[in-house]
Amino acid sequence: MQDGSTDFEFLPIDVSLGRCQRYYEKSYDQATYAGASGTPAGYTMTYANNGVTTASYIGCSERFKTEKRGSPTMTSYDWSGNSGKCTRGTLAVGNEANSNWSFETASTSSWIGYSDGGSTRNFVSLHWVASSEL
Amino acid sequence: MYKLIKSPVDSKIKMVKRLSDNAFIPFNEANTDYQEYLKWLEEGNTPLPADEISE
Repeated sequence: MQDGSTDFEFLPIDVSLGRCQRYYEKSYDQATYAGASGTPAGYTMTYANNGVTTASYIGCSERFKTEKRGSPTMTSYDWSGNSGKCTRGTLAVGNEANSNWSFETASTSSWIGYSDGGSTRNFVSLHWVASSEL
Repeated sequence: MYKLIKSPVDSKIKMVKRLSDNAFIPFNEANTDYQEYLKWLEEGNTPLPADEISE
């Protein structure tokens, strides 16, 4: 060990995770990779106005758990793991993966996005990754 | 290749989509993907235009 070096600093996992999430955050559970298929847990889900079905826009937003170092690059995934997509659905009727998804804005604290149309459904759901790496 | 994304909220272009991986990049100098996009522009490249906003 060189002079001046210190012992490895063990931090609580919540502290380490928060520091990592300043640079990278995902909706998936920690053990699930981005783009995993099979409707993995943790997805964002928002209903259209009053739950009425629509073939038009359905938008949603979410705040990050940790403030980012800069506005992050955003990638969405549908329940099947397709990037740039979302799942539009209606409970007890059916879901349609591979629906178009766009992010409207991404700031250091949150994102806003939307599905700009597709099948006539009443909710939109997606997984997402926010990357603000150096 | 990149494509400009027009906001349906205010019709402003605030994001550019990287088509290789469908990532949305904000116009923010601190974002390294945006810095790469600016370098790509400086090399003489042009992004695909934004789609018009549907009603």
